[in-house]
Amino acid sequence: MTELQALMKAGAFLGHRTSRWNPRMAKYIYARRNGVHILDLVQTVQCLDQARAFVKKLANQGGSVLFLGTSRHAAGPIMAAAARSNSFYVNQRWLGGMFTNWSTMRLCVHRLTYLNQCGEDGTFTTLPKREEAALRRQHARLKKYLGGLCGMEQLPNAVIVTGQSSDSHALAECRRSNIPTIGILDSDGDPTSVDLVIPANDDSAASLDYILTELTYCLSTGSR
Amino acid sequence: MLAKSSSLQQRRRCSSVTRATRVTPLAAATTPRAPVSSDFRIKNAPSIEERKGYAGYDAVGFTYEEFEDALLEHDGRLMFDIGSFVTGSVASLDSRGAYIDIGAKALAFCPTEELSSTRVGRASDVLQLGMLREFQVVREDRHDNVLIVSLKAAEAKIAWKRIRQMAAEDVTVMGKVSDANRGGVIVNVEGVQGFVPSSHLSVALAAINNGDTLPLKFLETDEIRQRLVLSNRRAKVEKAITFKVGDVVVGTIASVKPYGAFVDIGGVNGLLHISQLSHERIANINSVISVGQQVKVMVLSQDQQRGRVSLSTKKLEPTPGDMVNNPQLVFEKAEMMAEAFKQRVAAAEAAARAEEAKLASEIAGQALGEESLAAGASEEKAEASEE
Repeated sequence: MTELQALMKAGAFLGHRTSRWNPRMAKYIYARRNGVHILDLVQTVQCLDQARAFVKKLANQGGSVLFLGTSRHAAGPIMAAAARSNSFYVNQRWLGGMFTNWSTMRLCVHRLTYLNQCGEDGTFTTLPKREEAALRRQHARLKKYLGGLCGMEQLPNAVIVTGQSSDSHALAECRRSNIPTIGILDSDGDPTSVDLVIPANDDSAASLDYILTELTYCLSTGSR
Repeated sequence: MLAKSSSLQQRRRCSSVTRATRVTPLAAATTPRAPVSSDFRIKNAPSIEERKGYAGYDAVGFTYEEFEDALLEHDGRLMFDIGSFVTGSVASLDSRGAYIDIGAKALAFCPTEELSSTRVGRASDVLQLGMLREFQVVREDRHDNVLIVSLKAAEAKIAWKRIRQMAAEDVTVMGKVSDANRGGVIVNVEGVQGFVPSSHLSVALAAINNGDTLPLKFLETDEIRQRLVLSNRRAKVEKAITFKVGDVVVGTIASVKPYGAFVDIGGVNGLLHISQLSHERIANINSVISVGQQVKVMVLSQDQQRGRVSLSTKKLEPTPGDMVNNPQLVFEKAEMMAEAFKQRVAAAEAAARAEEAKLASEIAGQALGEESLAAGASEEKAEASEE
């Protein structure tokens, strides 16, 4: 299957309804049909090539990437991509200060690691019921929000984000911390909020899977 | 071809109407829309010529023309009309419903209420991940443009087709009672909700519980108005066609009305009209018969179409007025009386037939006579003169 066929099958060309666009995305939109914007797949591939090159170079230098995607349908693909490339990820709500207050966040991540270990040792069962319950609650909460950062000691060298419209604060933190961002943007995204735009459908798991697989492949091959 | 703006307005009107429960099955929209060149104008966007000039255009594996061709192939995914039927696979299950991949931009949502015509607890009771089913697009959520689809509506389409076939063949179906009201009971037949009026029930309304299964036949099947009316009586009558007109049957009085009594004869309720009780005039029906009393009745007539059976005890009275004075005698002598009645009927019929035959032969004889008259008047005269 050619790249065009794969992208078409995944539905990467489908944008939002015309009323829901961000005019800044005009140059990445190909046409307006049936009340829906169609993204320019030619540019998608061009941008994807740029992203591939960037990620390969980063991997060669031994850099790390964080995958960010908090929408309901992006959670699965993001986690899978991170697992494939041994990277960290955030697929639940982005907690304020994750990057800008990393020194504090890091302690929470250590706590999570410790609780993970407790769970494995069976330390929980030796505790009285009430304390055990409290610790398990804490463990569950940390696992939910910081599970993807478990083991991360320093900030990543790049962030790959999808569903930009819901994570503007996360991208602001990236900018503040001087971390370059690659964004998979739909017709309602803001291209000025990320450093490298890949225009594609962010509502379809197939579309996200395709693009994230391409990037993780480069990440894995680049580091070899 | 419709002008672009009016068709857009039409579709917007469709999508802004939120239909609550029942969706009348609409014909699936199948006209593909040809792209209009004016569609392209995006405000402040570079034209295709400009885009072809970008560095890296040659490195891309396809051209804008190939992209356009591919778009025509996938044209059906841009928009789904409300009322259209789509095939989708189950992508994920939630507590509130299921997310279905119908090939649109985003996953469509099928709420748990729309999964089946019978009550469903969780979406996972009906659907599993990866299942391929047919759905009907019901509406579009105005807030986040998510398509809401219904499995119930698509199944109703198939169910109604089955029902129409069965109604044409006048098949007896089993329906499960789900509710009851003053007018009758509500049943579920082949996944579609139907109604059985109490006048068409062969058992008492009070005796029917939710969850009972009744044999039913179709009275009214109107898919457009979502109207399905069935009859229990018609189904039962067909079953209990063990008796013919003139038979004597044992029955129990099921209910007593001012105009007569309903007698339960082998599952079917027959009407024993007050005038058919006895030769004597009866002022108060309750003085003669009571609910639960066993009687022997003669079948006067039966109407299969409407599931009605007419009964009589008048004919079974050895002496007129016995039903009132000596019902026990009537009970005992019922078979005898029926036999006598049959014989009388047979004799009467035989006599009638004899009369007919005689009349027919006379007419035939006359006709013969007329023929010979027409043939040769002389011969007739000769015969007459001979006689």
